[in-house]
Amino acid sequence: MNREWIIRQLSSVDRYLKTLRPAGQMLLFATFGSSLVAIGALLLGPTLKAHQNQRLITALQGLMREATLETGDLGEAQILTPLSSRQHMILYPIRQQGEVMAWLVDTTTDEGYNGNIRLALLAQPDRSVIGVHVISHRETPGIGDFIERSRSAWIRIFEHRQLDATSTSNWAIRKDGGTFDQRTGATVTSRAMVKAVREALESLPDPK
Amino acid sequence: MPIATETLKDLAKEGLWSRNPALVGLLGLCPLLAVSTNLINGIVMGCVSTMVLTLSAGLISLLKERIAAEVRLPLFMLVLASMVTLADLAMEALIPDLHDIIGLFIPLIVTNCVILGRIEAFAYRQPIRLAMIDSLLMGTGFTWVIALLGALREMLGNGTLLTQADRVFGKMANAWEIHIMDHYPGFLVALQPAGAFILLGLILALRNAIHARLSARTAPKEYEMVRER
Repeated sequence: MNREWIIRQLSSVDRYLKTLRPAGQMLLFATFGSSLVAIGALLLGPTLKAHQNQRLITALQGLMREATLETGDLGEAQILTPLSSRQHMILYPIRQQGEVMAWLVDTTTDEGYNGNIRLALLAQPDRSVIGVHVISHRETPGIGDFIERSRSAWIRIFEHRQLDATSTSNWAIRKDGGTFDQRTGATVTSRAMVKAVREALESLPDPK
Repeated sequence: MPIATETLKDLAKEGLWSRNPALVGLLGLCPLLAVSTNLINGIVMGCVSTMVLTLSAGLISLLKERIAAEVRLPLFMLVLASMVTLADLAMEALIPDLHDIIGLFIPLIVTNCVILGRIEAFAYRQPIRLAMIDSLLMGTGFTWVIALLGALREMLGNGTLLTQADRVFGKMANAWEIHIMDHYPGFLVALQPAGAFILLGLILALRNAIHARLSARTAPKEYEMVRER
């Protein structure tokens, strides 16, 4: 163990420390950047939420107009426990003269290609779909954004489809053995949509 | 220390014309072509990109002595990504209707090479005020091109100008929409990517023609000297 050996060891330690500096810097910048974003999200959160709710109501009004239903009272909300993990679902009964005429389900899935897809589903009490409307999503522009009503009619494939004991296995995309057409190149998005709608229907109370 | 007027003039000339990022650098084609379907989209995309560029350039210039050279690009990306996410959030909160339409393209600002290029080539090496002024001018250069392209595509494709202005400026902007011609049949190609490429090509050609004429007029002596050799 001579002096040269020690010097060599020390210089290699020094080299390692030098390689750590950029790594530490990246960590620092990442922390700084995410704090900035977090502060922004906190400040803008309430406004964003209000916009999203407004969009939900607009979507509902559109769906009901299409189904020629009268706009009911949205006040009575029934929050159910999520069916699968990390899924948020709110059920709103739409009543006419006390009778539940339809259910509005506000649900979010994280199984899309990128981030959450939030959608509004309007369904009959017998679990047949009146209409589906995507409220917000971050799917790839030009590939996954076909789920928007303004861009494509794909989302109408759900209309008049019913979920009952005999049709459960149909509720998947064709690739998975179901009866729903997926979009080529956007299988993940299609699958997430079908699953989200199916789970929303499953969450409705049992039809009488 | 005040910045010399000459420097400002040079920066303005470079950003807006002689080294315009979109027309000369041909950078940032993705947002340039994808979002320029109408004038308002173009203006908003240009402005948001400019804002992101200016803020990031300021921040990078401020921190340039502390940034380790070997990881500077990832660090630029981190700063940029934070700024873009903030801009995305702000847009969603302030102009939600327009965000519905071009919101998907906002995260792509991160990949706009105008921004990364300007930060690497200029902001990283210059004092903060100069960096921010340069960014503002480069961004404006990008904005006018995307706005012009948007206006052309909207006029050719739809026969209108300033549709969707109400999504930014509220109900009062409904009246701003201009119909160039009654019963315009529409010209779909102009609204599609192919039309965007063709129109951008025409703008490029026009710009080059003007530029050639201008430089021939302002610097005839240099040309003669070159010939003598």
